[in-house]
Amino acid sequence: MSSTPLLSFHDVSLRFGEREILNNFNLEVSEGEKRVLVGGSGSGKSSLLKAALGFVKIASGEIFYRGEPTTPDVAARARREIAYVGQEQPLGAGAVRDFLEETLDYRANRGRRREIRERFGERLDFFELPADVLDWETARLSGGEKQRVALSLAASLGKKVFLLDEVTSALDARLRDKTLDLFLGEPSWTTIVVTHESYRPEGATYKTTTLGAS
Amino acid sequence: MNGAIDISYWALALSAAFALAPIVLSAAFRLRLVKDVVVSSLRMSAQLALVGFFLEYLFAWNNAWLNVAWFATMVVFASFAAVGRSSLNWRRFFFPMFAAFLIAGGSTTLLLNLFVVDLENPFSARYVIAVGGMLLSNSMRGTIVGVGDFYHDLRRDEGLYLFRLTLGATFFEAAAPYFRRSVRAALKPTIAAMATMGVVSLPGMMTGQLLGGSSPAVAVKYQIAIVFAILGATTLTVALGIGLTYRFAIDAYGRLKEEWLGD
Repeated sequence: MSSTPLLSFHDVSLRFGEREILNNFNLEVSEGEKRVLVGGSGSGKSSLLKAALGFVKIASGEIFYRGEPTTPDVAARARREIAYVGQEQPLGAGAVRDFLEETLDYRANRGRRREIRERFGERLDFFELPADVLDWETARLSGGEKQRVALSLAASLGKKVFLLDEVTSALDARLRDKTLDLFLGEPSWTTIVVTHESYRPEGATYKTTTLGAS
Repeated sequence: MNGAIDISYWALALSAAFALAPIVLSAAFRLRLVKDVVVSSLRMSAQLALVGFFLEYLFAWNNAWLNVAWFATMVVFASFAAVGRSSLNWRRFFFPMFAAFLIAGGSTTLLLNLFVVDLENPFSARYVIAVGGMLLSNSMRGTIVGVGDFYHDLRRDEGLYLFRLTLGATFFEAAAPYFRRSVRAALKPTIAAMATMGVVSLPGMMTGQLLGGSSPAVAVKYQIAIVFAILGATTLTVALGIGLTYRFAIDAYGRLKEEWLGD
């Protein structure tokens, strides 16, 4: 395994308009590492994850993916390899099945339809959703069901890097722990979890970084 | 062509009495519409008087270049209106929108004049200006709805758009659901109007032709052809309008350029 970190933030500052929300933040996450980012709301933790995927402009500093600065090309590669689930992740209109089919239709996924479909079924099962959730309208799903569907889909594409933003906020304690055990427990996965609550998993080894403690 | 009976200026002024209805109602029920009615009435009369003045000359000269220039001017106004009403930054979006209207409106007008009406000179004033104007104004209505909806939804659902990008979608695949939805919204009124045409309403163009002395059979044939052309022109304009502006609305990372989208 190479020593280049998978994802590294160098002196990253984030600004919303005039307001600086993060100043010279540094973090290195190597392959297989699990990292929990803790911080109050408005501490910039969600924006950090989005910035790693090129979705948010950083005010200064640099973000490297596999040692390369995140130019548009590198960001595109990062998106291909990184699974991301946002806070209260919306799933579009129609039934869950429609969203799945749309995802399977992307050129990037077309060749792996069966594989993704199968794994998606397994993940739904793992997250304790009934098989007929596929026929449910996304608009009727509760916040927790939406989060679990989004997690199932993100974890069905064969990716090994996960950026998860408050994905357990609508889950009860048992499901929350089960979810975090999965993403923080798999040795080959690299996971960054953003949360504002403390979590003490049984089996996982992970590091915690606290933001906005100034 | 034996035209409609002319209206005297005195009689025309009398028609403005119809505008008293909203003014009286507004006074009685404090609708606060008086100013709007008066301003709009004056604008409508002045604009049309000016256009009538120009058209008299344009029709008399019937110069292909002038006709095309007039058409291009209409395209400029349509593009401004479409960009402004979709609350986009006109500096950035004017040219792609102009291109969309010019390509879609121009090609349908030309095709209609050449192959359906079978004109020897497809740039004759009557047809380029009258038919082209109808196609432009109708596709403008759809385009304001379609392009406006597209960017409105894209910004409102940005979280979903970004999620799609991480699920493997290309920029175009991630925007496709919004494209689908907004083109559908843009075409719905036209399709619905087609379904009731003749039953609920006699379209303006047909009324005009009937008053102008055309036989109902001719007026109906023109109406059918023009409605098909409107449907095609609207579809093309919306699709091109979104397709051409979208490239300017996102940066190399696929982020929406908020500062260009206005509010």
